[in-house]
Amino acid sequence: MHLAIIIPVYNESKVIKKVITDLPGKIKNISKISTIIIDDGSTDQSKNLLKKISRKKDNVYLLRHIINRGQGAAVQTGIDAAKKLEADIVVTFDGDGQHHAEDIEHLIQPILAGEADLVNGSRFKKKQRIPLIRRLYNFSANLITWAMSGFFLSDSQSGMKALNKKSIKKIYIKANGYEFCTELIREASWCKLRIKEVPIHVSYSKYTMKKGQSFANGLTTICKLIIRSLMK
Amino acid sequence: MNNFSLYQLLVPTFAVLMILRALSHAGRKDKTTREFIAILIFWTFISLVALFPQIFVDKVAAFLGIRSGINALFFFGFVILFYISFKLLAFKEESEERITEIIRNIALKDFDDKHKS
Repeated sequence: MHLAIIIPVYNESKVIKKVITDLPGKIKNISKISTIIIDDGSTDQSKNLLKKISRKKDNVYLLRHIINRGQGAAVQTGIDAAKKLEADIVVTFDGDGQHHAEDIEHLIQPILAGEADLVNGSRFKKKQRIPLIRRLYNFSANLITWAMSGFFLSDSQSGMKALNKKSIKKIYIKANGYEFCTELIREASWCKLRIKEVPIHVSYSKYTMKKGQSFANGLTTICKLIIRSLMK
Repeated sequence: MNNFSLYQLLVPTFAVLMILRALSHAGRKDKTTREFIAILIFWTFISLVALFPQIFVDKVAAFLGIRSGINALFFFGFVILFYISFKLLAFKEESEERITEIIRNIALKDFDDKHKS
């Protein structure tokens, strides 16, 4: 089994080195682990830093968007690269250091057991400190995701997901921004894929709060979701 | 028939043209069936409002609490403006998708070149 970990990166020079070095080198029942990093048009030192890292490590692949296109666009580029590398499982992992690398092993278990085609990492299935504004935004996004897909997930906007080969083949993300999370669930629903949720850890710091969704761009994301669903 | 105004002829004619245009797009797969149905419903409704204003405009005006038919027409004007804004936003989203495709293809081409060499 070949696992590809996709990390979209946009101006993460402060944390990206640690994020990559913390990734697991070995996982039970996985024979090969590749890391696919998508530099989404970073304007800080991330570009040079990522070049150095990918040169040093054989299993780290670097792709670069010449201009910033958003997390959804970067994830789909990563999925396309994973297809070229013939990966069996893909895990999406945020580049800002909010996710915990040890959760990857738990996240892929339902796929290895043949119980799910798409596994959603849920920050809300574990008792942990999550800012109220994030909880509010997530709940409204969960409702919209449910209206569009028929699936009510506890954390539809999670950046940590695992997809098996069937999902990689069937799903194609068109949304550029954060709204890709809902699009992915909707596509999975339309393709009749099996979805499961697994609890994951999350660490919120001043840095991750600054980088992630704010309530204002959360509203933009919701509007875009509605427009995109009407466009379909 | 003598009571018919010019706009009652022009609006349905324009609506038929819009429906035919959408049908042509749908035939060439430029539009999805869902989009075509939405357009069909929208322009059929506009035509009916133009043809039978006393039924639609006055009743809708009464229902909405708008006292005169003219105000209701302004209301429909806003609806049309809203529709145009939606179309512009949809067009913008489509353009963004195309730009992303180009950027992605460049990134994957570089990846292929390095991967093969």
